[in-house]
Amino acid sequence: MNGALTRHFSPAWFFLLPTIAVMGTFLFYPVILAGVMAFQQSSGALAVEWIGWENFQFVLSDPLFYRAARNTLIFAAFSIFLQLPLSLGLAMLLNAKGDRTKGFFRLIIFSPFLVGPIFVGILFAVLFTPRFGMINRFLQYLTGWGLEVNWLSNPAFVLPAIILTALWMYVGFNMIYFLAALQSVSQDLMDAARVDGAGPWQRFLHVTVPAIKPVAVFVVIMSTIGSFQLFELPFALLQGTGGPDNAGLTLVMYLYNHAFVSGDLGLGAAVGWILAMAIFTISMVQIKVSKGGDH
Amino acid sequence: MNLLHVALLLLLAILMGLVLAGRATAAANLARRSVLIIVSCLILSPFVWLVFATFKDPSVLNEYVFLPPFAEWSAETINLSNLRTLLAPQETVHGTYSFFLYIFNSVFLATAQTLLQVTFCSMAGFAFAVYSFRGRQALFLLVLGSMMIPPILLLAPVYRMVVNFGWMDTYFALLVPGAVGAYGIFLYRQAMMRVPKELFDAARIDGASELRIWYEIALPLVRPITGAFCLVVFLNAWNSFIAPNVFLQSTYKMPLPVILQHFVGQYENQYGVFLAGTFLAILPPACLFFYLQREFILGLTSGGVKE
Amino acid sequence: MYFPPGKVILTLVVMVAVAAGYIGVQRAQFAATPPPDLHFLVFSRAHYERYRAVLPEFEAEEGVRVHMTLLNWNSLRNRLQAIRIAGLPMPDLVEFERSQFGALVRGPLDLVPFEPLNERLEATGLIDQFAPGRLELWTRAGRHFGVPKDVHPVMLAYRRDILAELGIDPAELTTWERFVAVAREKIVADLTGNGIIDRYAIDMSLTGNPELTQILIAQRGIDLFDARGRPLMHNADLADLIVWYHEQTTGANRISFPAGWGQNLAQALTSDLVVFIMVPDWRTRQIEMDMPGMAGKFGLMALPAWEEGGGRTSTFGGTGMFISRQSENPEMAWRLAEFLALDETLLESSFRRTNIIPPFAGAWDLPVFDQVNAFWQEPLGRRFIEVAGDVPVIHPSPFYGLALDRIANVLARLRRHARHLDAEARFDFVMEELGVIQSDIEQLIERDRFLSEEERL
Repeated sequence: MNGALTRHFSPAWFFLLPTIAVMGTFLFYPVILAGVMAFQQSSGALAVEWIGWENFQFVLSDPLFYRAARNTLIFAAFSIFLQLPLSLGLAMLLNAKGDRTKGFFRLIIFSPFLVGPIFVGILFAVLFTPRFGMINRFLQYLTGWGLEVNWLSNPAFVLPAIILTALWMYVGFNMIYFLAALQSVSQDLMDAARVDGAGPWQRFLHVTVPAIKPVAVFVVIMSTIGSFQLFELPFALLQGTGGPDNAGLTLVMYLYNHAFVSGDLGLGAAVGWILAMAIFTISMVQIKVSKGGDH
Repeated sequence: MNLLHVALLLLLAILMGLVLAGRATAAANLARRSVLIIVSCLILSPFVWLVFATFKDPSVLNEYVFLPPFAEWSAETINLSNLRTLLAPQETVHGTYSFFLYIFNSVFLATAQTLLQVTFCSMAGFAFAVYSFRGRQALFLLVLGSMMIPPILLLAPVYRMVVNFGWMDTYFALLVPGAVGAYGIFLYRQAMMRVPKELFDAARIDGASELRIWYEIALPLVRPITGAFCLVVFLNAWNSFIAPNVFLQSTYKMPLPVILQHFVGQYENQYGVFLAGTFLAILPPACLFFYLQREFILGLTSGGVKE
Repeated sequence: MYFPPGKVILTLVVMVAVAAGYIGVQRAQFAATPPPDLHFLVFSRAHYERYRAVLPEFEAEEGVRVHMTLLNWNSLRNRLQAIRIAGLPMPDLVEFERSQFGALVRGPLDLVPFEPLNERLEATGLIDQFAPGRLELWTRAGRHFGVPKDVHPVMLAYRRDILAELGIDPAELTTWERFVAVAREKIVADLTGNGIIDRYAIDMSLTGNPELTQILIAQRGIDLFDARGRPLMHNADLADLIVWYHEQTTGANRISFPAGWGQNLAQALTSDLVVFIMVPDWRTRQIEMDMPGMAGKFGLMALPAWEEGGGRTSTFGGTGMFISRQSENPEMAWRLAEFLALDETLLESSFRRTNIIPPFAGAWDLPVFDQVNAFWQEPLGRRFIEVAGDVPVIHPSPFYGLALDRIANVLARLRRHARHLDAEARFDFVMEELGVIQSDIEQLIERDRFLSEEERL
């Protein structure tokens, strides 16, 4: 960098000014307030009692918390290991040269992201109905099984229903990023590899993967964070409950139930801390792993 | 559970297999096309239900899952009644006005939000990518860390600040707290780090100011990212309903999703009207996407940026 | 044209300008309105539209301006909880549903953000006019915070045509025991002989929500919390009911189908898959709207009792009106609440729009309740008013929602383990689970630092 620029007042601060002003006021300051609340029991500004680690102790000894954590982890695993590969696969299928229908398919596959989660909740409650639902009837037709499955009221099927719905909503969204990244794969390099006799798998591993890696890392980290923050979709799908035997309860729903449904923000804040720590750790591991691959 | 997962995994295997075997042969092309068609059908099928529901008369909405049998088609079973109810003049405590006001409120909020985010996030991303300054690493980590807090937790503290600033029932309450986001900063930083530093240095030698370097060199080079990012911000703002529901009071200021929710509430559900509204709400972003999609996914290599 | 950020941004700039222009022109008509005297929040479109029609009358009479805002109910909860947590004043007048009450009045009794209405209710004599149990829904530690808006008695709707065809007289179905026997013998059937049942007796969800958790528990006379907010979950009657419900919803002997809501329910009822369904007054209106083609095919009867001569109704849902403790004009807010609760034109038009009967015994003589409803072919209001006096009492708690959720979980776990358990072991299993819920909720109450003296153990 130009040393003269950094010696005095770096222009970086000029560019960061709006960010610092807005985030400082509406994000960091509230985060500190909420952070402090995790050590309190409060009800409005006038009723505040310091209770130390009691909120954390309660949450960490609550079986429901672990159930929510387990559901969230399973969901996150499916987002990363099922949904993202499918997104990448679709992006590669769409990336063929000189295909005039490309734009059309791209819009269709992306289209579920255009609708809001309330609609998705109402829609999938209809699709996932025993005997009448489109998904049930389709499964029955295809495999001879599934007509009477109670997706949303059988504990074994709630999480798959949520995963399936999320797949429908987000597969096209992540595809867009992969599609943008695939444009940066150098055609010269690809041709050279082909001349050298590299098979499709080798070309994928040695040409495509390195080129899309920065975007892929971004998408994986964002998907992880998004999965851990999963709230609106299951909330709409299960009408605000955790589903039968809480099989669809996520961590943020658990937080919401304490903070907003039962009105104890301290407990909610404690869950928020734990959740943030968990996401932070996992993201750091992901970044480390992705860097390790370079050497 | 197993069956479904096996089917999905099989589909995945087939997809990958096809891609990897993908020499430009006619066979592979056919397979590629058919997979795309099957996937598109699966993805579109829920919308079929939505479109049919939009144009069914409320009296037969629930009688038939899709459309009535052809013999019963008439102006009484298939018509624009839902859309007519939806688009009728809106009678509220403030007076009567056009339903299109809600649509324009949404358009305004979503576009203004997008422009603010693009401006400020690209500035911050530029700062993190281009300059080295004391505290850069720490500040960037702080920004990233902010993404990990569930936003719902901050509702009460933010509410109090909005009241203190006198922003209740104004668009400031929605636009200002959402004017920057860690997501965009991260995205722009990644993109701008790939721009060769020599380009900036050359401009500096020509006497360009730092602001001009950001505006005239950095921004054009990351246009594809701007496109994709705009789409994400626009759609999030377009579909957002928690914040407007908490901070707005006057009905005539409400965006579209808030109003649509009112049709599926307690005591009575006008599903037909709600679904017609949902159908209507998809159209503007869909048109925007279709119109601009070449811009969204212009090659990252365009504009001479190569590593 | 030279514009470095690109065509996307240019398009957005054009869009924002056009939208701002349109909004600006449209809004010009609202610019001159002075600030309102009262803020009023409601969560139902049906209420909003009825109130809007009569508000001008109130405004003219009192010389005030009322600003009414409609929010959907989850958004209302988010906003009110945000206000409560931030310690700011509530809107002058608010309506919300009973499941939100317990959590909104948590904290020190004197700092509850709503005004206790005991004195006002006594002074006006209203306190003695409510249907039994309705005031308790909105009461914490003896303080009545809300004005009840409804009773929501529950009846059983049935398909007249199918029962006539099967030769079943609904008047004979006086107990659940008889109901189940008749259902098994005459109603549940595989009509096409393909091994799939095509007709079930009644709509009951697999999760237990709401038929078990909201309706049957209350009908059986089980109150999950006492007047002090203490849980009463470890309860043999409740265990017995859960085992019974499981039997009717699971396995080859089940008499029920989980028909769900909206289009799913309409499909199940119109295709004759389900014959009976439990309906509070407001749900009769939903049925009218969701399946207009079924007019004349439904009849209404009281719920079968749990024992001969037992209670034959329940209650499901409930809305109250609340006055902010920090309102600048509490007198006017109270007058508005009174007007909205008692105005006869409003009560009539509300009933016509929602089928909901008012909680005031004094209003039950209005002629509108005796009119025969074209869809149900019954004097709908009268039928619900006949049972409204027997509606069971339910006490609120911040953990009411949690309790219902946990009970639904017990049902789900019973379903998983039932294969290995005989009837007695099932009962024991459920009792044990209920004991865990009881102690979990006691522990949550124990944690609360702000309980008043009389609410402590």
